[in-house]
Amino acid sequence: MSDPALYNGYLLRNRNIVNILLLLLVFFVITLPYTNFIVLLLFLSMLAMMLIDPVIQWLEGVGIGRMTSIILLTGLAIISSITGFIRIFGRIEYESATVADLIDSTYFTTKIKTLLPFLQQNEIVDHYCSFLQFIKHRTIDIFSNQAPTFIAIIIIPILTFFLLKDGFLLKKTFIQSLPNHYIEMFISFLYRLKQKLNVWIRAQVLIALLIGGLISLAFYSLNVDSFLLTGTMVGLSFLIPYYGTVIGAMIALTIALLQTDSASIAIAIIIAFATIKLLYNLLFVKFETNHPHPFIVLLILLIGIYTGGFVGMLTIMPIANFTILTGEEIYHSLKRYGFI
Amino acid sequence: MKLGFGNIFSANGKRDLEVISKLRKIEFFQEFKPNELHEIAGIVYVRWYKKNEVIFQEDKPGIGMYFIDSGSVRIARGSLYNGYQQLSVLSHGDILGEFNLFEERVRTISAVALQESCLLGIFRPDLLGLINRKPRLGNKILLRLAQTFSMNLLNQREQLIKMKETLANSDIIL
Repeated sequence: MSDPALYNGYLLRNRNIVNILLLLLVFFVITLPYTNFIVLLLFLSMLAMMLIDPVIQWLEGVGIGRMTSIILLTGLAIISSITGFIRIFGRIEYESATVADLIDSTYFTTKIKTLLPFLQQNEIVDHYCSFLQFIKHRTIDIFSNQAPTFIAIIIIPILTFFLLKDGFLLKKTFIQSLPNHYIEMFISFLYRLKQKLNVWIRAQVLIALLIGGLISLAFYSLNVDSFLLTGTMVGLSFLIPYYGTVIGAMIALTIALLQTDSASIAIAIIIAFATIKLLYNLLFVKFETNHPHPFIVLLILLIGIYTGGFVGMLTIMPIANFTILTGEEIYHSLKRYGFI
Repeated sequence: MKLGFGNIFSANGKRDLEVISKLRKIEFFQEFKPNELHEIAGIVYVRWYKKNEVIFQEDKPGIGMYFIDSGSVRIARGSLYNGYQQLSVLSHGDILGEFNLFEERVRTISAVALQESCLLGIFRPDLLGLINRKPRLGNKILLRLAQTFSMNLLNQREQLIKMKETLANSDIIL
């Protein structure tokens, strides 16, 4: 029954596949600076697919055809992209430009020192302003040459449509091409990863939307001009483990102090953040994954700030968590099936 | 003018027809309607195995079951390299690895192709997806599996009774 030659063949194929995968990974990393926009589009489309797919499966379960469900939901997504997102993105862009102008001028230090007189003789405000300017310039450097947002708004629904329509077919075609020895491991790996990512992504989106929505609403009622930008940034900052609340509070405090004339708003914001953190710990702590060590998180955050400014700082943690979850599942699958 | 996508899809449609014709020849799928077979073909993986190629191995986890379309498969227990105990030889229409369709767990037997064989694999995640999307068809498949299990169980019970009778009539003291 045993055939050592055949077994050696498996080992050889094992090694070849690992080598090919490593080469592909290196190629991906090398070309990332030139392809980051395409990768981002693909990432966002896959995110949209993972959010929409359970709804389509539910519609199929109640008897509506898959194609009809996909057309219905993609159509809705396109309409809401054109009507809603463009307005919201436009507003956030306007708010970002306003806040960016305030950071660049001496207005920033003067305003903060006037509102918080105990910082008059302290240089910390100037250092903080320089730090914000650095992050702002990194943001502009990275994203100034990107293709316009409207390309993303057109491309993402199209990509999502094809991923929903033919995602399973593409997956099946790829699996069919794998050697017999790996097929069960790969199917099991994809299933487990999908289960984990589905829960994780939905939890992340829910957290960001809830926190961001609450902050936007609070800032709107406080007459802060950049309420949407603040909500978006604070919502995303809550996805950063350990430091998220502090970063969110700093962002909210800075914008609120710049755009209002009362120092008492600072106390209100601190109380609001303490309450939100308490609620977050009560409601969402069960969704939290095993976070990396605080030192690693800090390192990842610094890389994010250096490579993408504010946008990098707020998006690198979800991307890192996604990568960690995938890596963990690859490791466990290989171990479970005795490949390592 | 045909786009690249069109070619990919038409090729796949052809492949689905091939899978359906293979499914039709297997007793398990006799009661399924053509449109149901089309849905099932979507989750079936056609796999070719060389002579002596391991299909699945004892003590390794598994996630699916296989129908034998052509060729024959040896079912055995024990090490693949230091001797084994042959349990049975399966051929066209037989099912193997069916318990792993319900739970991803370690296989208790090994399966090796005795000659070049074609197997149709169905895997747990895809079956769960089908049950979600088409609950009626999902139930039909599960019912058919339950029937197969009960048939196997009845056969094994009869074998056990026969063995007990043989043992009772023999000189062996239990």
